[in-house]
Amino acid sequence: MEKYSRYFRLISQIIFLALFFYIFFNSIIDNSGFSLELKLKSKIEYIFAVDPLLALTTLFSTYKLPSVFILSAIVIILTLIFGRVFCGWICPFGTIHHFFSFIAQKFRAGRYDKKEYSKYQNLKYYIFTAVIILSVMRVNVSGYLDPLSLLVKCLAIFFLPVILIIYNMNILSDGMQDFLFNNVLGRDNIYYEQAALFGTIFIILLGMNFYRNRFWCKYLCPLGGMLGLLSKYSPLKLQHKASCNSCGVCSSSCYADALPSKKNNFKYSECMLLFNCLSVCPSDSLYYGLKMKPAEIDLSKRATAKTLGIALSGFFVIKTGTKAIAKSPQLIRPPGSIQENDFLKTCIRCGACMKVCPENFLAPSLFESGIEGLWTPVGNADYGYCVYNCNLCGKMCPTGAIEELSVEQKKKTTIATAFIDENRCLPYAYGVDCSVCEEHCPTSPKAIYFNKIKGKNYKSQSREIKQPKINPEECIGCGICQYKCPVKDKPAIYMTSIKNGGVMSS
Amino acid sequence: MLDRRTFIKQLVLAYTSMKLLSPLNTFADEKNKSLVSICESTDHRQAVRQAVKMAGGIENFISKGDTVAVKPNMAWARKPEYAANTNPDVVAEVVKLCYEAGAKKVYVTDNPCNSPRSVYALSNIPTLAQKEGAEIFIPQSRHYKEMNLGGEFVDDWSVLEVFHTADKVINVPVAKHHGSSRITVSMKNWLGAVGGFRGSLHQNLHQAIVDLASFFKPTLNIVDCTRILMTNGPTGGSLDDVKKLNRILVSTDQVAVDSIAAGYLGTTPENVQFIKIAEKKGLGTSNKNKMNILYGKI
Repeated sequence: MEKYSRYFRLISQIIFLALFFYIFFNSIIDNSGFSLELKLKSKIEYIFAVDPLLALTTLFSTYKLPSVFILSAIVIILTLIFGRVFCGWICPFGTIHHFFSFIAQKFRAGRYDKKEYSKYQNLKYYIFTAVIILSVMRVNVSGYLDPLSLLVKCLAIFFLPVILIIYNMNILSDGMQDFLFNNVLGRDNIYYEQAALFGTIFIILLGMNFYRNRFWCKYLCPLGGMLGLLSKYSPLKLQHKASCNSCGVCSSSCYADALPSKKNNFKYSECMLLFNCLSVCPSDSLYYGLKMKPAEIDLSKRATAKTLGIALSGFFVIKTGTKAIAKSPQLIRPPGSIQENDFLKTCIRCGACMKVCPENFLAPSLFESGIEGLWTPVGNADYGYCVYNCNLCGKMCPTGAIEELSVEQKKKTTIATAFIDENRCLPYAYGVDCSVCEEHCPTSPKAIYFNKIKGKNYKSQSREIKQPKINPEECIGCGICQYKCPVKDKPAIYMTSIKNGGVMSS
Repeated sequence: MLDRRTFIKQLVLAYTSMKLLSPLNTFADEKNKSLVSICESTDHRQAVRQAVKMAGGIENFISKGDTVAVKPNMAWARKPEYAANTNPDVVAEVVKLCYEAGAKKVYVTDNPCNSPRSVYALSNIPTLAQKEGAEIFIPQSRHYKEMNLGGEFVDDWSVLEVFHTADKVINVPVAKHHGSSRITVSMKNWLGAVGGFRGSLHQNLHQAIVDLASFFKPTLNIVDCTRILMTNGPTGGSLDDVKKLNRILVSTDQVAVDSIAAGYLGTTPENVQFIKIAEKKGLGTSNKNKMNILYGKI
C-alpha cells in the first residue's frame, strides 16, 4: 500500500489540475442556450475561494469576507489534520511545478542530494508574515504572491495569448481550430500590453524548478508558508519504523527537501505528502500515521524583525506611489467597482475579470493608480470595449472589489467619458462621412449625436457634414466608439476616466 | 418645320403613352413586376410560412439537396425584444422551411459588431435555429476569403465564404432605423457578410451597400418587420424605440422590400440614398406601381 501512495497523490494532482483547467478555460460566455443575461460556463471565483491566504488577507484588509470563501475552511481543516496536503495533492500551481521538477529530475546529471535543511526554505514563512503584516496595515499584496492568483493571471494574460498565436498559425485541423476558438479562447481579440512581463515571470518561476525541485513551493509560496505553520500540530505525519537504517534514498527522492532520512530532524512542516519517499524506501521503513509531536519551525526572531522592517518600509514605499485618482485619465475601472481606496484593498489582482471580459476591455494596470494598484483591472478601449449588456466581471469577482450589478444597473453605470479629437475626426478634419462611433454607441438615446453643418470636404466640394458630438449625460464610457474608430492608430474619439465629462447636469 | 430629331422624340412619346393607356398595356405586365408578399400575424412563424407561400412557395426557391446559407441580422448583444437583431423565431422558421424543401444543409451565420459570444447568447437566434437543425457558427478567420466584388467602391474585400459558395442564399434581415444609412433592411444587411475593417466602408456607405447587395444576389429576401426599430438604430437599446408591426415581407427584389420597409420606418425611398443608387443600377424597383404587392393577414 505504501508503495502505491504516491500514485494516489499523482491521480489527485491530475484530477485537481484538470478541474482547474476545466474551470479556467470554461469561464467564457455560455452559448449553449438562451438566458436572460450573459452567463459563464463555469464559476471561476471558486478557484480563489478555496485559498485560505486570500481569505485571510481579504479579511484583514477589508474587515469583510465574501461568503464564497467559506470553502477555504475545507483547506484549513484538511491541513490541520493531514498537513500540507493542499500543496502536494491539490494546488494546480504546485502540480505544474511538480511536472517541471519531474522533467528537471530526468535531466539532472548527478544525484539530487540534499543533506542539510536550507534556511532559505524559511523564506516563505517570512513572505507570508510580510503579506499578513501589510494586509493588517490594509495594503493587499496577496495578489502578487498568492499561487492561485498568480497562476490565473499568468494563464490569462500570457498563456491565452500564446494559444491564440498557435490558433492564428492555422496549422491545426479545422476541428481543432474550432475547439480552441469555441471552448478555450472564446474570442479572437486577446491582447495585453503586459503579456510579455507575465510570460517572463511565469517562465522564470517554472524554470527555477531546474535549479531546485518545486522551487516556488519550497522557497517562496506564502500560501505554502501559511499551510506549513498550520500543519505544525497536525496529528498525521510521515514516520520511521525501527528498521530504518538512514540510507538516505528517501531524502534524494524528496521534491520538498523535507529530509525524510533524518529520523530526528525530519521537517514535518516542509512535507507536502508527495510520498516519493514511501515508494523508494528499500526497507519499507516509512509510513504515514498518527504522531502528536508538533513540527519544529525554527524561525529566528532576528529574521522576523527584519521582515517587519521590510514590510513597514514597503508600506511607505507603496503609499508614496499613490496617485491622485482624479489625475489619472487612464484609470478606467470596470463597471461596479467600489470606491478606489477600497478597491485597492479588496482587489486580489487575480486577473479573473480580465479572463472573462468578452471584448478584451479589462487589462492589468501598470502604474495608472500608483504602485499599489499594480495589476488591478483597468479598461483600455484601444484593445477592446465594455459590452453594454455584460455584467460578468462583477458577477464573478471573488472579493467584491467589483460589485455585482444587474444588467439594468450596469447599463446605467458610467465608467468614463468619450471625447472627440476634432483634428483627427474624419468629418471635422476632412469633411467626409463617417459616423461609425454613432452607429456603435449602445445607449438609448445615443450618447453621440450629429451636428449637421454646411461645409466643404478636403476636395473643396460643398456638402452637408455630420459632425459627431458627445452628450455627457448619456455617455457611459464603454469605449466601443474608441475601439471601432476608423482612425485606428490613435482614435479620434477616446475615453478618459472622468465621468459625465465633468459636466454637472442640472 | 418638323426636324428629324423632334419627330423621333414625338414618335417615341406617342408610342409610349399609347402603350401605357391602352387596355393591352404590355409595359405593366404582371410578370415584369416585382412580387412582394406581405403577411401579418402575431404568430410570427405562421407569418413567415404564409408570406413565403404567397411568394410562390419555398419549393420555387430551394431545390432538393441544396446547401443554403441564411443571413440574419445578428450583430448586436441585445435580447430579441429590442429589435436590434432578426427575430429568432423568423430565422428558425426559415431554416425549417428550407429543410422542408429538401435542403441538404442550412448554415446560419453573421459577422457581428459586438463580441460574438455575447451576440450569439443574447440574440437567441442560435438556440432556435439549431433546434431546427441549422449549422450555426461564429465566423473565424478561415471562414473569410479575399474576393473581388467588382463594385464601384468596394472591389477587393474579405467575404464570409459560405454566402458565396452556398447553392442558395436567403437574406433574413430586420428593418431598423440607422444613423448613417437612414435605414437598414435587406441591402444593408450584407455588411454583415463581409470581414475586414468595415468602419472604412462608412465613408461611402451608400455605394458600399449597393456594391455588396449586387455581389451577394440573394435567392430570397425575408424581411422581419414583426417589430421594427424606429429610432436609435442600428443598436436601439430601449423598448421605446421599438414598434410592433407583426409583418413579414418576402421578395426576390431587395430594392422593393427596402422601399416598403422605408415607409414603415417613417421615411420614403427617395430619402434613402442607397435605394436610389440601387434602382439606378437596375437592382430592383422602388416604385410601388412596378410592384405586385400581395397582402394577407392571419
